[in-house]
Amino acid sequence: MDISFLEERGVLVTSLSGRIDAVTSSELEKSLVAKIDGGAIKILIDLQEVEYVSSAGLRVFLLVAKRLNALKGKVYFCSLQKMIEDVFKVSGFYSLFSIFKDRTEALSKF
Amino acid sequence: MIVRGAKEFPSQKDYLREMIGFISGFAQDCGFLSEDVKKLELASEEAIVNVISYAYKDSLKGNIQIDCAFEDNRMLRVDIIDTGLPFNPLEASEPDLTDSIEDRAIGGLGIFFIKNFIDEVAYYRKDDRNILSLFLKKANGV
Repeated sequence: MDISFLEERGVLVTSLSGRIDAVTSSELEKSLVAKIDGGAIKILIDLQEVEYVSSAGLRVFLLVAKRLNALKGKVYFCSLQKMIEDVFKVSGFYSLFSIFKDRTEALSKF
Repeated sequence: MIVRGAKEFPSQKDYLREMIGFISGFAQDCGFLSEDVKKLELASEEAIVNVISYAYKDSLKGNIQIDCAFEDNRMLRVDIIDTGLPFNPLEASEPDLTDSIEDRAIGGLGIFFIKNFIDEVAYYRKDDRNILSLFLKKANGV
C-alpha cells in the first residue's frame, strides 16, 4: 500500500494504492490520525488505485469518519473499483458514507 | 479428478500475505476469474486473522495449515486448520449494520464477509484442531 497526500481547495486528498489489509491498515490509521491531529477536517480518500480492501481497512475508514464527525469534519470517498464497491455494499458502508464517481465530483461536494 | 495443494505456515501476521498468496495462486492455477480470486482472498484473510487473534490469541505459538482441493473442475475447497483454542467463527454474532457513523460499531465484519463473499463455509473441531472450510464454485467452468 502507498499513501500520498495533496491539499486541494482546502481538502486533504489522500490517494491510496495497492492492498489495504490486516498488514497495512495500521500504517494507514497512523497516517490519517496524524493528519486529523494536525488539523485536517475535510478528507477525500481516493481509492482509484486500490485493488483490495478487507475488514481491517474498513475499520480504519470508520474510525476516521467517527473522528471527523466529532470535529464537524467530513470524509468522502471516490473512484472505487468493483471489488471495493462490493465490500462497501455488503458491509453497509455504501449507505453510511458519501461516495463519488471521481475526484472532481467529490471535491465539488465539500 | 481432484487437484490438491497444502502448506503450513507459522501463525503470525507476518505470514498473512504468503498464506493468501498460496491460496490465490492455487485458485488462479485452477482457472478462477480474478474477481472470484479476490473474493476468496478476502474470505481467507478474515478467516486467518481470526485464527491468529482468537484461536492463538495473538501470542500462542502454532501453525496454520492450508489445504486446497479442486474437484471436477467445479468446486474449490480451502481448509484452514489450526491447533489453537476451540474457536468457531460461525457462532459470532451478526455485525452492527446501522446507518449512523456515530453509532456504528467498529469490527465484526470479518465473519460477515466470509459468509457473503464465498459460496459456503463450514466449521469442525476434530482431534484438537479447528478446521474452517471455505467453498467457492467456479463460475466459468469449462
